[in-house]
Amino acid sequence: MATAVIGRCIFGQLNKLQKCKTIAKVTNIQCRNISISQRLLGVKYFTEKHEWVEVNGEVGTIGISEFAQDQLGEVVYVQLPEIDTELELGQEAGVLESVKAASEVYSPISGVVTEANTALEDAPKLVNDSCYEKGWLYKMTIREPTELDHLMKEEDYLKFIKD
Amino acid sequence: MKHTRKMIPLYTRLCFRRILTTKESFLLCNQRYSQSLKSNPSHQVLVSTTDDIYTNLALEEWLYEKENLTDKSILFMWQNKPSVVIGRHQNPWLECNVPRLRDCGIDLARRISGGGCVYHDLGNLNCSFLKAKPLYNRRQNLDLVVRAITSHWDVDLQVNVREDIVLEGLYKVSGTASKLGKHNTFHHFTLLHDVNVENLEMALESPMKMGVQSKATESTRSRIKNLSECDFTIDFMSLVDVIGHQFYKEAGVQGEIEWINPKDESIFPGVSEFRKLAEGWEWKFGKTPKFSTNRTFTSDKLGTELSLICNFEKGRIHKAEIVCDCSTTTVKDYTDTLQRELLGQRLCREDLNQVLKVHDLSHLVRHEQLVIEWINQCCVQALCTGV
Repeated sequence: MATAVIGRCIFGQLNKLQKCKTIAKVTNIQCRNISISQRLLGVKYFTEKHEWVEVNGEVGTIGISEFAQDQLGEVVYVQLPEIDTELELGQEAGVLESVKAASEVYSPISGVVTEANTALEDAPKLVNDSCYEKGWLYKMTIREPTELDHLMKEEDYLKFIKD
Repeated sequence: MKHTRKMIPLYTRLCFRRILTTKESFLLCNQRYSQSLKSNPSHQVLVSTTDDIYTNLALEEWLYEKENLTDKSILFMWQNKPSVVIGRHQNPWLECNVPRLRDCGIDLARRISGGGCVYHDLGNLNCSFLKAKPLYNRRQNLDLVVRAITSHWDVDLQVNVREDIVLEGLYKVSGTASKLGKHNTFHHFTLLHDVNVENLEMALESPMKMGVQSKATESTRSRIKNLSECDFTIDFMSLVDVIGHQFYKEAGVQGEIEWINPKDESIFPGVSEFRKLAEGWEWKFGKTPKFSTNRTFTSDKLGTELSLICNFEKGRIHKAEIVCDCSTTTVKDYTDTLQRELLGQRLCREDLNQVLKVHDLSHLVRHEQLVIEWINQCCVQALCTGV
């Protein structure tokens, strides 16, 4: 009986070791994925509504995330805010029309619109193909830098969408 | 005319039937709806007692913006007198016959959802499923409607890969569009049961397409058929009944179909503001994406050629280039004046007629008179045909 108990303990430990190895392997792969995504994302802050804002000095560039563009489907029209429009955090800034739906875009921060990505007039699909670079939506001033503290950094956003 | 004779009995029949139903329930409907609001049901089927497109779209938008859908799903159904409804980012001048609609008294509306241009009359049922974002599912709504109809009538109805409801594998009987907001969403679609096809074709044929470049979203045209051609008992009342009850049945709840007055400010405070915006020129036409027209006219008789390029933004002439190869100073002055006066004008009859009016040209030589009259006619053809 003792042998059987010892045997079960050893077997249990071996199983645990096996599980740890598997977890380590999976975690390793996940870590690699996160590190690759970080390079793609750059320094961006994310909202729960899947918009991002990238800060360069006093100007923020706004776009939507990879997850959002995938959910939307092919974008066929982009309605952007006009220059000099004053936007509040959470206010509707524009609309992205895809073959599936017309989805509202909400401003992640407060400020005044300084530039709109006019390339999207002729090529709305840039939002799908290059959502973090060529598919940016508009730029704006950052009226309240503290608003950025309430947004998610990229690691937190990636965890958020996994859930 | 054939289609007029067909329309009148249908309109009268539908109105008569609707009046019977609303007479029974209208007095109670507002009271019932107020009561149901207090009891806070998880599912509601609302049917509009009005056939005005702006009022119905206003209520739909009100429900989308104001109603708390966290624990509630709403199916809102309605029908409209003849109207054309374009998608949020469409160009009405390219999608339908704007001057004809105006002359026939057919309303034009722009909805807040995307998608293409549709013609409505009393032979079309509109269904709008309003739900919280996590519950947004177009396929589920379309499948529900197909199940509702096929369980009551022997029709070959399916949902295809484009999420259209298709009859007999060939004919489109429904056009779908959606709007996604922060918390709320809606998915709405038409259902053709007895629409006047001749009127539909006339209304959706644009006279202004030649020479136009546009950034607006375009419609996809399809072959259509009415459900009543398969079974004449399929009509507005029976569809409302069948679909409404299927909605409650699949939710596993008991409920009644509630007829409501979308104009009632006591139940829907602020809804009239939505209606005012929906009916306004700025929303219907002013929200048109940028487009331009480039036309060339030649007159062999006068031995002259005219080029007209106009850029439009927000439904107004943003830039006009009118160049005639007739080199006299008088003609050049006329085209320069026209260019200046057209700038900023709305693309509508009233504004353009002010500028393109007939002038007194008796002081000019005959050839110049003829050229200027011809230039005016060309501009009217390029701009006014569509308005």
